[in-house]
Amino acid sequence: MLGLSLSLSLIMLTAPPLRAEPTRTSTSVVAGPFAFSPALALETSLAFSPTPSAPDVSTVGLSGLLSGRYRRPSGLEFGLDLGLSGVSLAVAGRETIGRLALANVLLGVGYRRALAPAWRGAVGLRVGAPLATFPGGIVENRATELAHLVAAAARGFRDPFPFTMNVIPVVLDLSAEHELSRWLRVSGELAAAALVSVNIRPSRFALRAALEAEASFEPFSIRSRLNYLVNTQALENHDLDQLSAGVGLGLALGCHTLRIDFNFGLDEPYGLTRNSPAPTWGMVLGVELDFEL
Amino acid sequence: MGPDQRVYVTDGYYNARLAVFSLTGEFLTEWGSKGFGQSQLNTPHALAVDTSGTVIVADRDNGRIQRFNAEGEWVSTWQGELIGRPWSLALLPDGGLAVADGGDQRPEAARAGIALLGPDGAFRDRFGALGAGPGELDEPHMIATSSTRALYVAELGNERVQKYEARCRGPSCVYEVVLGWPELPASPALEPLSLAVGGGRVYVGRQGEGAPVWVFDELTGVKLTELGTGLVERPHGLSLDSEQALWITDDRGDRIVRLSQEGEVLLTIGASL
Repeated sequence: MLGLSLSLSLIMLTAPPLRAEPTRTSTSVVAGPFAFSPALALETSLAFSPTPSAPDVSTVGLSGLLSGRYRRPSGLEFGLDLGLSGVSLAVAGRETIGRLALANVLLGVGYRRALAPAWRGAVGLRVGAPLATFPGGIVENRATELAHLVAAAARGFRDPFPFTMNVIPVVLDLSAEHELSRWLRVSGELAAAALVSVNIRPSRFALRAALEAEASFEPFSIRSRLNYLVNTQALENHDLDQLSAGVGLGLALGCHTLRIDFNFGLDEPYGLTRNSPAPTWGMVLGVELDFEL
Repeated sequence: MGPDQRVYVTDGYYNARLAVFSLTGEFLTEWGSKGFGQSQLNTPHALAVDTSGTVIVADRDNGRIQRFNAEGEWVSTWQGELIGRPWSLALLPDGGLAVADGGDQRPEAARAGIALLGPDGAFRDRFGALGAGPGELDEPHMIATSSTRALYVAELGNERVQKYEARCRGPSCVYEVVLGWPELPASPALEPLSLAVGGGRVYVGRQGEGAPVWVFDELTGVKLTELGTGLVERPHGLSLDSEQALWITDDRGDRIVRLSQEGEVLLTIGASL
């Protein structure tokens, strides 16, 4: 039986130490209810992207996401995600447009537990306050839309729901993590979201799935990731889905970690393929702080 | 409707593309992607097809007009302060273009007007100040022209249709509003959204789910009939073909309907487009 867990960012970034030593890599996992002490995890990331771009278009996106998680010894967790998206858009012959916009605020509750030796599972539910909305005005609306799109794409659509516009996101998160060895960990994530519209556009559903592998050579780690997002309504024109990939490096400093990740789209509409109308890639700098209380 | 008897549709509110169909509703081709670069579109809101087959698109949210050939290849871009933000456009008899500048949807900086361009995109004139008085404009949503060079403008802000007659000397025309056109009943309100002109008639698509298209005599403004009651959710675009059948784009119902002059549904192109 899967334990409840928190949002994806916590699972991926703040796995609690199962031993007393302040190390992120555990050598054994005790199945059943928790051996966790109450903890507070904070993750902040800054994403940069110079895309999408064209011969006559230059875009610079900078966005931040702050995620906080409070974990009880029982395994119950409470989380909060706050974000901000920014973009500067320059089109040849026109005035440069800049825009800063709030992302949706997501509140979550979850439960995680060790399932078996070297296995962990988690489930969680998040609901968002729809702050990522059209501010009004054609220019402002388009710039805000671009800011949030770049913020999500620069992260490889790893967690697009803070940046999904004009909806109340209701997200069910599932994840499982397996330590193949002391230095190799693989994980899978599934998120099913109901996107309740707050404007004239119809409500829709989204599904996100991801696979990740992380190799640790303390204090360094390397990870790679595949992410797939599909909507019941087109992302753009006929495209319902987006496949993205990411590679990253981590540096463990006790219970805390510094990260740098590079993410890029693989297929249309946001991939780096020849026919993609809006090829997108991004670099994410992240800091994960894990505190035992 | 193009001179090649193909049906051109701007799919702009949720998508960013042009779709082309045959008169029998067969999907032929499409082009366009969302963006700010050359040949990309952001809310393509209206279009016209000239006698050479060039497709002229009101690329509203990019604040420009883009021209494509029949294969969807970019030809040119027209933009500028005097053109403003094109919400709609209509071909003039001499090949020029009338462009409705509906503004930026910013109440604190509202703007409205009609720009007149030559066949080469050269600016000729601009008329219509922001306001609610005769000849003034507020959110001109759609514009249509007739063979008599009259211009018809459906305004969202003033919830009316205005007719402007042209007094021309060569290519240069001065447009004056025709007062009292059309003759409206006391209720319901007109609430116009879209326009088509042809065969001596002006067709007005109206807001309101299921609201019928009102048909007026082009000369007198007398209301002649209603078409399509209960048929569409929101008639965002109207166009007449060579057989005087009326094509209606229903942007809320995600479909296109072809209607005879008697109100008979001749063809429906559904959401799979």
